[in-house]
Amino acid sequence: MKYCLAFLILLLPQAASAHLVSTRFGDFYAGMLHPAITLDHLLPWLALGLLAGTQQARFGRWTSTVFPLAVLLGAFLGSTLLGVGVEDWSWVGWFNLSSFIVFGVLAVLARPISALLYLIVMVVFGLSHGLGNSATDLAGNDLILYVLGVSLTSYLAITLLAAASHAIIQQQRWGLTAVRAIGSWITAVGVLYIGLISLSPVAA
Amino acid sequence: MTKQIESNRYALAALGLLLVAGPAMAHSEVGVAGGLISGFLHPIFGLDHLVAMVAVGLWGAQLQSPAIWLLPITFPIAMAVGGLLGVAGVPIPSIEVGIAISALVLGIMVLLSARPPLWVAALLVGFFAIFHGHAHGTELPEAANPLAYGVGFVVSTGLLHLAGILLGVLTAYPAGKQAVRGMGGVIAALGVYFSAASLGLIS
Repeated sequence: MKYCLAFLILLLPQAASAHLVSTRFGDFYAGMLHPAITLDHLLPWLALGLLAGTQQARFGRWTSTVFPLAVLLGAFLGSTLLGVGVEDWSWVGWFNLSSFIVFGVLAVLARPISALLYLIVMVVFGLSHGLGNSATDLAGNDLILYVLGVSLTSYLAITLLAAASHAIIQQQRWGLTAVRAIGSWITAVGVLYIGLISLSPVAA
Repeated sequence: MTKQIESNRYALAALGLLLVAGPAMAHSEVGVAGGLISGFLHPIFGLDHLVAMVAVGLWGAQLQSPAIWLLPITFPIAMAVGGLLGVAGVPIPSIEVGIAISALVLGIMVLLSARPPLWVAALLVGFFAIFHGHAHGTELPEAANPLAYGVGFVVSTGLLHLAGILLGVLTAYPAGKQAVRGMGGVIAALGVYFSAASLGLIS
């Protein structure tokens, strides 16, 4: 009898829905994943986190709040503007690629930057990276979840990296050298990638 | 007759499996991971690249601050410029000879514990980095994922510099200084071999 019951249960399977990705909340995860698995975003964010660590502590606090908000605004504007027919967004990609070099070189130099300039650079590139994370096929709550996911990743990445960079520089003699070296790596990757896209776009 | 039917069933089953065949993915050289791995391994499996990059770290450690961070920063950025030339198809004559000579010259610098002005050291390292970058750059467009390939070989290069710097910690001890100079001698000797090989003097 118990085997019959087990057999009957097998005849009535239901979707497990163990993962929220298959539900409405999935757009939040999609938003979180998009920048996390895209080197075009992740590497400049790494450089920005390193750069924040080379500055005064208050710069780090600004970075962890202002940059994710700019990303959020950019992603939302991009998604909604794209929805009304703005088609040529290739300049956003170029702008984001330039952030490899801007953030990388500033991290290498590790010089004090004026607060106003720092904030302007952060807001401008935050907006452009947000635009680069736009989603054209979402609307309403799905879009809000997606945009929140994108900005949460930017917040987590920037905050953790800025804190780690600042702590290493303060506590280890080799900390600043390590930060400068990684900044130079990101600059080098940026130079190569921009060159590749300019000179051999098919390969890129 | 029964065997014939059974054989036909197996054939049908095999045909069915063939119809639902997916890609094997037996090789990992695809996508971001593939580009990252192949880029990362390129300088490590090329002994001429490897010894020259370690020599940069060793020399930086001998020269101490600011060369210890300036040289490993100069190298990847100059290497990227060389990579650009490679991507653009701008020919640089005798690339392999240049890479081999970089091992020879940088090895000699470590062997002699040479202390030129900082700008001369940076210029020398940057000049040779262009040859290394060009060699990588020509392979970049064919990479599974060019951006990941670039990340892989830049990180690998940086870690080889780090290996040199860590070995250079030995310079804090009198015997260690000699050991590091000995490493420079080995690198220079390998540079002689690579130079002779690249010039076709030995096979």
